Amino acid sequence: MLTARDAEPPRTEATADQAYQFEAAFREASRSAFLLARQLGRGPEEARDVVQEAALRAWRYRAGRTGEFRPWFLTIVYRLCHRPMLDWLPLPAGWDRRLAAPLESSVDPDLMAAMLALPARQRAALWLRYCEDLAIIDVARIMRLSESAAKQLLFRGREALRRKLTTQPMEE
Amino acid sequence: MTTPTLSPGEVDRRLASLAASVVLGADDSRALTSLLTFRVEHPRIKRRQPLRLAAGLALAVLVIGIGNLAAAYYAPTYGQALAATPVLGGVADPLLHGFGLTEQNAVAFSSRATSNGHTIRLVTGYADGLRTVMLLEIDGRGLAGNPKQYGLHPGDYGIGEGVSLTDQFGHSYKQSGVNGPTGLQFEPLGWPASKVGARLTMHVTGLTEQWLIDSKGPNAVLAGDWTLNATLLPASVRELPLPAPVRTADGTFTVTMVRRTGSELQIRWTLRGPINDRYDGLAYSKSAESNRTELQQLERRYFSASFFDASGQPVYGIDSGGEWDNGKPFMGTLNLTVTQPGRYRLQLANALTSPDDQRWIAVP
Repeated sequence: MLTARDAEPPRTEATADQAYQFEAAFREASRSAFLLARQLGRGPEEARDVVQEAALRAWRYRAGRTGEFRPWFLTIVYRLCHRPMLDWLPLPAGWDRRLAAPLESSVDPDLMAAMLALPARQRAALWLRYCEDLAIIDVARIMRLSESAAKQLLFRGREALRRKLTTQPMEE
Repeated sequence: MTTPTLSPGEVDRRLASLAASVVLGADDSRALTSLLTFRVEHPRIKRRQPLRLAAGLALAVLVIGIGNLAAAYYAPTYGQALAATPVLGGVADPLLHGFGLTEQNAVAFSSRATSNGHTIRLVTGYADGLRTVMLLEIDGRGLAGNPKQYGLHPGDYGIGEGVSLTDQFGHSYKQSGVNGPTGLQFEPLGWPASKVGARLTMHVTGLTEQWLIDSKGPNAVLAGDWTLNATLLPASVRELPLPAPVRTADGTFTVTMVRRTGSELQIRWTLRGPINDRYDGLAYSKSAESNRTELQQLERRYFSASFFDASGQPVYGIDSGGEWDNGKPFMGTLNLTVTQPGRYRLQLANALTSPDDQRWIAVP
């Protein structure tokens, strides 16, 4: 079990209420955070590590949060996903490590495949805006963009998706 | 033939319904389930109640009277309470080695508890200055056979939800490092238990139904109340002499720590110089994504150390890796299982093939 004891800032006394509220907010945002990390190319275990690290950082810097928890937390996850990850040594002989499978959609596999072919920034912007239902201003904050740049990124992503979906061969 | 032209509105609609249709594989489900165990350490509420004088005096007399007994309890080293019998029949070698243990350094336990129809047995453990390891058996399963197969069949329970570990001084230890369904790692023992020995109490309030995680997610938990006890003395930690730095045109590799504890050897090193600057420049640029291939090549050549025994056979790591931070030296870590004393060769990067660039470490 991961705990945030070590992440406690030295002079801040957390109340039990704060801790419970933080845990509840984290539980609500953890799926979004995990899927965002997956969309940004992380495998399941890497995505879990990123979200855990983000949770520790969020707890440590909770006093600096402005606005809702989820976009703020996703900002931390997004930034951590852009940091280089640990490069692990090979496992002992006889042990193996599977390659991470990309996310799939049960309803719209074509769209998911088209998303995977997009550049990571466009994919992240579309995912945050449409799948996480975040406001453009939140997308911009998470991706450290101006609002107009976020709109442009979303527009280009949608157009790229539309082109990819349009030119995909249909089954006979 | 191609699909008809899509309207922007149609793309928006399909995007909006994409999240709900995402299918999570087994690995994703497991990772998500483990995230739900995140807990913040809740501050304890301390209450003081006035003690009557007589009660205080009686307590003082009682404390003096049982002082020796208490000392023996709180300091297992004094009472020689450790019947450290290194006999680990039934624990699969891959599992032991996966946790960096051997039959020589792990201590056998016999504590068991039954609740809700299921029995947990604390089979073996180990502690040193870096970690505390506990291996458990659930209904007689979990430690034998192929560790990678465990969790796939009905009845394969794991320790996942609600586990705490405390010592006789009330110090609680959080989980750390790599954990498995029946093998748990915690922080190293804290003072004073690290000096006098630890009487540990493990409390488990839920078993994870490993084979049902994919279908039930976080609800695949069987509640119960299991309390297990163990006594452990930490293996000593010994700092070994540092080898000389390796200086090349690409950078300077400096070993900053070599530490021996139990069967584990921990090595830390830094890399500073042009190659680290180049890595930072690529990794922290706006086009980091497109530099991924080159970054991986650099990582393989310059940021991955290897360790070999005297015969040239590689010694594998437990959880080794490294950290980059923009503008700072790379910090590498090797945590290795070294069961035999001897001379070992440290190759601080795959690019360092010259004999002059090899460093030798004498492991006692």
